[in-house]
Amino acid sequence: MTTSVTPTLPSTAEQNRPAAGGAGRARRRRSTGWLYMAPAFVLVLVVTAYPLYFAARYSAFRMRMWEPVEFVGLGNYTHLLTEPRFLTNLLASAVYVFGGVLACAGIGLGLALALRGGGRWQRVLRTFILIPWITSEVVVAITWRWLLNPQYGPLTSVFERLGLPDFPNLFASETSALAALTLVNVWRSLAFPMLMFLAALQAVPKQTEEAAEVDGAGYWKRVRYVLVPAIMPVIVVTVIVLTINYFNMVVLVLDLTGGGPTGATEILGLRLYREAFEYFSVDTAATLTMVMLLINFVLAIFYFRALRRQAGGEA
Amino acid sequence: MTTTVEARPAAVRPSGPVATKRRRAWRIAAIVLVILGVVVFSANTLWALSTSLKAPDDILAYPPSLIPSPVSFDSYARVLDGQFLRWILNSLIVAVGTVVVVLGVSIPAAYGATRFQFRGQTALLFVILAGMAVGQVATVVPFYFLASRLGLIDTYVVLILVYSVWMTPLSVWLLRGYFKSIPVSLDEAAMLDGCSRFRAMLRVVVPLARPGVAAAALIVFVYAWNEFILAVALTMSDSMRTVPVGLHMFLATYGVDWGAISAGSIVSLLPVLMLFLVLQRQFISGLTAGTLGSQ
Repeated sequence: MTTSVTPTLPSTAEQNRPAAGGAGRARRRRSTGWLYMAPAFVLVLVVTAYPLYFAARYSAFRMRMWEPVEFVGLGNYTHLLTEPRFLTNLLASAVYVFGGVLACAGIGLGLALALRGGGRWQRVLRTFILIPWITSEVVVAITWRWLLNPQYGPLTSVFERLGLPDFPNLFASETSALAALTLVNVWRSLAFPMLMFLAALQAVPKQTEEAAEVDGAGYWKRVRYVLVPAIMPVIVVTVIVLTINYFNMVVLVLDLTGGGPTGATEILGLRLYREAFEYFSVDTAATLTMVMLLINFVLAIFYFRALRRQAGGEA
Repeated sequence: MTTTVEARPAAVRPSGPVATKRRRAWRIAAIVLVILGVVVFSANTLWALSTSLKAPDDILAYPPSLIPSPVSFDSYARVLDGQFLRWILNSLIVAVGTVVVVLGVSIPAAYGATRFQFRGQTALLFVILAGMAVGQVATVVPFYFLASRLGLIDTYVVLILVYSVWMTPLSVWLLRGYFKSIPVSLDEAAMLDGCSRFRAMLRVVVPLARPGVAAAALIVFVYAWNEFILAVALTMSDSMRTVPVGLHMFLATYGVDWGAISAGSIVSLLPVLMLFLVLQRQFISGLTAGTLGSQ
């Protein structure tokens, strides 16, 4: 695993900027720049603006299937935000997302540090960590449900053969079900932060680390004061992607715990899916959509600011 | 962890027999950890593989065995006989289509963001990146409504379109950082030689950024291959389902068909795994410059 194939010139950003030419040239350049960026802009704008419009509009009505029946203003919101089920959803989401992202980014960083060498065993382990990430969430969910089943699961059988006490039913208690769900998700997605961090670590100049070592910094000191700060922009981007991804998950939860027991693992994504496709309650779904969009945007802005601070003014 | 420690320069390490002993201890600990890691990360894939090769009667036998005996290809025959091949084809079309669209819009966008400076550029880039904050599940109901109004339910187009929107921001981000690290003098030289700017981008910048492009392509492919919720909402007929939706149907419709699910999951893993092994080298080096360049 060599480092970058192309020569990386860390400080080319500024000299890359074409110097301002004559006025005519500058104007042409301006319109050409637009043209290059326009397709992505239009695609993203049109197709994200519509969901916003839709959710904003229909969350203000009482609906019968797809037909607005009565304008209720903010009625749907007050109804949703005051019900205990929504609070449970929010709490489960918070644990699932923040606990999960923290664990995933932390373990991912540890793995990246441990496996950044090019040794054979390190490469083997890296490849195996990739497998859960490229496996469909449906398969991850149902195989874990089977492996952890207290009646006929393989782990139960192993416990019996080794004479250990009965294998616990992790999905029976609210706390352990949420913990198990969060951990399975972390296990599933570890490859993503690991790859991002591995790649970033490879780009840290060798001399920087060696200089710190010559100055007497031990392994942990080098990690803490040299490596982690150097890859901070990548850590922030990874955390953004993971957070938004976790917050919006449905299928892993649907197929692993189904939101149970007693709604303890019903995260907001699953609730929204149910309102729309199981109860066909479009008004509640639209309201939930608005609430989730809002939380997504707030989180994204928060992270973008953190990123901008990290990146020294240019995100 | 261990090998990294070993890789320290010799001066820092105590020398003599103590060091050899310690090194051996590290080595054994490392091997134990690697084996443990391999077991932990392949546990359920191994389980699926084992189940897929069991005879139907042995699948739910208790206590379960890891090594199937007799080995039976019954589950594979059943899965590959049915609509599963059609679902694989659907997933391939959608995933490849998404990769093409995403790269098609995000390569020029990333190029434009690094090679030009104009008023509103930051705003433009921000809108593109903010697209990432719109989670998939929040788009499901509106897209379902829109697609059924436009008669796009059950088409490849609608899936490719919505997946592209969701993946374009990440792709622009990756490529932008990567393009930044390629000196502008290279495409300017190509333009002096008579290339148009667009040709210079395609012929000079994209090949140099190939690792970054491969990384983006791979992330997009994996996403589109495994996406479930939009796929289940925006397709109706059995013949238009994608692989994850099909696998989920084995769960819902026929009780739990463990043999079919296991065989199906192993089969559906193969295309992604092959793509991964082909692109892995470039993928890892591609992420390097791409993400760090955004500093």
